[in-house]
Amino acid sequence: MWLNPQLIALLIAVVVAIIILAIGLTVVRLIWSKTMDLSMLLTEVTTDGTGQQQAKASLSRFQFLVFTFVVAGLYFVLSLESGYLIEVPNGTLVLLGISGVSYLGSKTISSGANPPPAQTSRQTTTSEPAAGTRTDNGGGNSNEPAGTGNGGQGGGSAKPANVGGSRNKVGSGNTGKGGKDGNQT
Amino acid sequence: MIADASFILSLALLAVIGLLAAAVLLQLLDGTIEMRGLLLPSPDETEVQPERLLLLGLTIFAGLAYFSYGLSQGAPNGVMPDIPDDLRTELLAALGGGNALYLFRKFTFVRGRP
Repeated sequence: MWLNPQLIALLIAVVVAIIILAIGLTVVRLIWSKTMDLSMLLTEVTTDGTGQQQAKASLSRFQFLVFTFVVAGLYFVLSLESGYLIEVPNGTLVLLGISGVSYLGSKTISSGANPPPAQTSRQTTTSEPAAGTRTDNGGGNSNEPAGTGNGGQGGGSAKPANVGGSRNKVGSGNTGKGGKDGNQT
Repeated sequence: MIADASFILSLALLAVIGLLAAAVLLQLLDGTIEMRGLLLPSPDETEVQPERLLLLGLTIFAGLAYFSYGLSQGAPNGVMPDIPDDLRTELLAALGGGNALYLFRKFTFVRGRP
């Protein structure tokens, strides 16, 4: 009886399903308790008129989110109604493709305007004084990439992000001992 | 027996996805997910860009229209309903054009920055 293939298949299916559902429920619980922070879900970093980087909501991200929910929701409802997985027509894929291309284009334009913090940090490091001159980075390892908590006493690497708003925290972590201008991602 | 389990699982998955969507929607509504500056090209600008407003309206209209159309049509042949033929060209042209205009204005705005 215990070697019944159908029973074994059912048991495995139930176990796998429970694992997938547990992962989904964990994600939902983390979002609900705000441990998984979604506050930056729709934001992108832009440069304002003074050259500082600030975070603001992105319309292309919002569009991508809306179309994803619409298509995924409709697909799931209709699949559930039919009892099997249905096919997706080309028109719907074009709809998703337009928003995806727009999101990628927007991100390309934004990243072209705002060079990544790591590159900025490396440029600053290489332009520091020549050999023999002590560069005080407060004991922090200057070879560390930006965003890993290279905490110097105000020296060394560049400060890429000064984000407005109380909740908008972006950019690399330039924190540590004495580094009070640390930004969190 | 597996078919019954599959149906129950589908319901459970629907509940999880619904909860996920509800969590995102609630955080959008209570302001946890930042929506400030959606219609502005930059946080220090005060004037709304009309093409952003156009794209926002088109997005909401297209999403709602397609969802309600899909629900009303169902999937009788095992295929999700396509965009209606009499609307397809106009809708895709409007969405594509709106997105192209938005990207062009964004590009020119970024290029004009110091």
